[in-house]
Amino acid sequence: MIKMNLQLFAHKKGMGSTKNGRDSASQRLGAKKGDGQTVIAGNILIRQRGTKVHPGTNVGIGSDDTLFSKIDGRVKYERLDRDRKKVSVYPVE
Amino acid sequence: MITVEIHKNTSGQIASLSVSDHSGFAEEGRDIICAGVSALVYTAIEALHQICGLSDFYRIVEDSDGNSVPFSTITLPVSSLDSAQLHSSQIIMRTVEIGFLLLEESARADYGNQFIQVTTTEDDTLEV
Repeated sequence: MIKMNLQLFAHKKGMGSTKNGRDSASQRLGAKKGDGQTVIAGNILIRQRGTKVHPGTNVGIGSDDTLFSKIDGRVKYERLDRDRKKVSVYPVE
Repeated sequence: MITVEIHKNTSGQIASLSVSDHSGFAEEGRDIICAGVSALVYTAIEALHQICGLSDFYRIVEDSDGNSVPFSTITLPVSSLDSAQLHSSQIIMRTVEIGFLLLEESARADYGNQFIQVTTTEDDTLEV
């Protein structure tokens, strides 16, 4: 006899009861590429609110502060100054 | 939202049933709409097996990693069933259809439209 899974069509991870109605979708922010990773032009490096990380060499910034690579190359996280970080992309030799 | 699709042939016989996606009503273990849907699906499968003697007519895919879409399908080989199998399988499928429609109506009345949708289509390409 088949084993009945009463929660076959339920979310596996806590969505919370919809009666609460106050949960929002995650914004999927954060670093999308790590230090040393190779990227191609247009790849998103970081999604962020505000400039937690600043754009460095060969890195562009979108209207929502998303950082993206302008060239094919390798990602390098660096210091902009004492308190701030930046991310650059350098071409692979 | 759970989507239930019931496909009938031009003779009005239910040829297949598919159920997919999460209800989104509550988390696993507390989702009463999912429980109702799951119970109907498993009842249909076991009844078709035990009463009609069918095998290899269904598929169940669970969302094992929390990132997939669960679904189940029941497909009846309508043209190859004998008359007794056809009769009993249609009673089972019709009963399950009524169950899904009642469940949809109750869920909508009590909790809203966003958890389950049942659609019935008539398809002349399905075997009669």
